[in-house]
This record gives sequence, structure tokens and C-alpha cells, in this order.
Amino acid sequence: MKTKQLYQEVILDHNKKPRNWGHLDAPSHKAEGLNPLCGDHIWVSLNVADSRVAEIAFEGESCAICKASASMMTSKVKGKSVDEAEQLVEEFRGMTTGSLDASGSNHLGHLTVFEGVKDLPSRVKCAVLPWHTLHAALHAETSTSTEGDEDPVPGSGIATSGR
Amino acid sequence: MCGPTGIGILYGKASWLEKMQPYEGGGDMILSVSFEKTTYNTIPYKFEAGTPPIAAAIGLGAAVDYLESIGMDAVTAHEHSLTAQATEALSDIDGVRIYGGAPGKAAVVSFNIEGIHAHDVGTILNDEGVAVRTGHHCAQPVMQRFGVPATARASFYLYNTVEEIDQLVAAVRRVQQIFG
Repeated sequence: MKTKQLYQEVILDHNKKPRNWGHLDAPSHKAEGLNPLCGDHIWVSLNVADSRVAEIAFEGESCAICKASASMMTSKVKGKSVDEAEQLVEEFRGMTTGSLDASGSNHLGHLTVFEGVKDLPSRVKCAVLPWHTLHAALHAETSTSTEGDEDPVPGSGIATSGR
Repeated sequence: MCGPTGIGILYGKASWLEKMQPYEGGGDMILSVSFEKTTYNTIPYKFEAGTPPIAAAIGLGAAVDYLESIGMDAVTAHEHSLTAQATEALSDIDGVRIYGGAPGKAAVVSFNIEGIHAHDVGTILNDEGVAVRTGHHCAQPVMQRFGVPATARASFYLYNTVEEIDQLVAAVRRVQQIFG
């Protein structure tokens, strides 16, 4: 896949007009994600109610791939159950690392526009960072005392907190 | 310098190298060993413990011969000429900012395109057949100084051509076109 196809209209559009941009004032869960090597740095905050993602927002500084991935991720998981969100995290990671065939059965929908990054090892991290950060936020302990302790993603800096 | 990877040259004054301790042990780096006393070999053998990277050393020798046949003055002149031309051509593009303009600098041009992250620039340049490095170039304080997360960086060597600068310029314009 030529990467020109990676920069499709939908990705460029989400980069230019990111959805759910910003932060929630009193999130139930939040996490900070950083790719030290490339400098992508984002924050994901969400409100989980009745085991569903009621609200979600993100902000930060990143490349177009990371920002579009975060924007499309927040649009996709909003209103989904926590289990469904976790399944999407798994499927997205699988697709971008080549272990999941995007043309097979999955729940990714429009997110398959990111399939091309699997052939660009240096860009996989950009696309996956928002999803790692969402995963970290959802797994944050319900006490702020764990802030900064958890790093579920080797090689990246992800700090989490929840309440 | 066109040689194989994994080999390099330590250049130092004999008086200092003779005072330095070897950093690893192995074949060839000793003259004699007993329970009482170890005598290291003379330089450079003292620092060349064990089986040497034979193929890499022969390859490096060939690279040195090759560069000497061209002449390092000619290599330098070619590099600097391309760097000056690339700097001028990229400067002419609206929205391109070049970082670092010290006189006599190495043959690299670091740049960013306004509003577009260097990693996106690098991926699209790659598609256009232009290889650049992107990132903080192991120089994070410099990135902070310029207030950027990363830059794209083109470099020039003896095998690069003026036509490739045209290709770089066209590819940069292509990036701007894609990002509108």
C-alpha cells in the first residue's frame, strides 16, 4: 500500500478538524500518552457511567496520523461500553501491527483507513498512541495515588489517573 | 564514508593511548600472563581483543581507497555546493523554514513546513522517493530552542545530484498540496 493512500481525505479532515478536542472538567478517567522518540503527546479524558463511555475528549501536540487516529477513536468509542472500547483497542492494535486482517470480521469500520501504517514501522506508534492512552485511562486505578505508576506500554511514557 | 556498518577508527596520540587501559580482554591484547603479572600488548593490539571484524575491516579499507581516489577536497566541494543549492531552493518555497545556517556546517538542511508535522512530511517524501531523517535528531534541547517537536532533515553526500534537489523541492510541494 502506497502511503499516499494513508493520507486519505478522512484522515486529513480529522487532522484539520479534530472531533472531541479538549478536556473534560471532572473526568472519571484520564491518561497522558507520550511517544518520546517522535514527540507525540496527548491527553485523553473520559467519563465512564454505567460501564459506558459517556463522554470522551482529547488534546495534545502530535502529527496528523496521531491526531486523526485520536479524533476518530473518540468518535468511535463514545457511547460504547467499556468492554466494546477495549475490544476496539485490541482490534486497532492488531490491525496496525499486522496480526489482524482488516478485511476480515471486526468492529473497526472507518478506522481501517489506518491499515496502511502496518507497512510503516516508524509510524505505527503514531497511530496507536491514542489507543494505548485510552487503554491506560480505562485501566487507571480508582485512586489518584497510582498516578504515574502504571506504564502498560513498554517504551512509551503513559501516566494515568482515575477516581 | 561508504564503508560497512559496525566498524570505526579510533584515532589518538600514541602517548595517551599507551597510558589507557584496555576496555576488554581477549586474544592478541596481551604479551604475557602469569598469576603475578599481566603485560598488555603494544598499541593498537592492546585495544583489539579477540577475533577482529575481518570482512568489515577489508571493506573499510576499500572505502578509504575509493574516497582517496576521488579526493576529499572534491567530496567536500560537492557536498557544500549541493547544500547551498538545496538551501536556496527550499528557501524559495512559501511556508518552509530552515534551521541552522552556520558557515561551513555539515551537508545537512533541517527544515519544517508550516502547519505540518515533520513525521507526516517524512512519510510523504518517502513516497516521492526522497529519503530524509525526521525527529529530534538526538538534539532535544535544540528542538526546544526553536520551539518545534521535530524537523525533517535532508543530507547530501558524494553520490547525490542536483536533479535530486529538484526532486526534493517537488516532493515538498507535493506535501503542501496533500495537506492543502
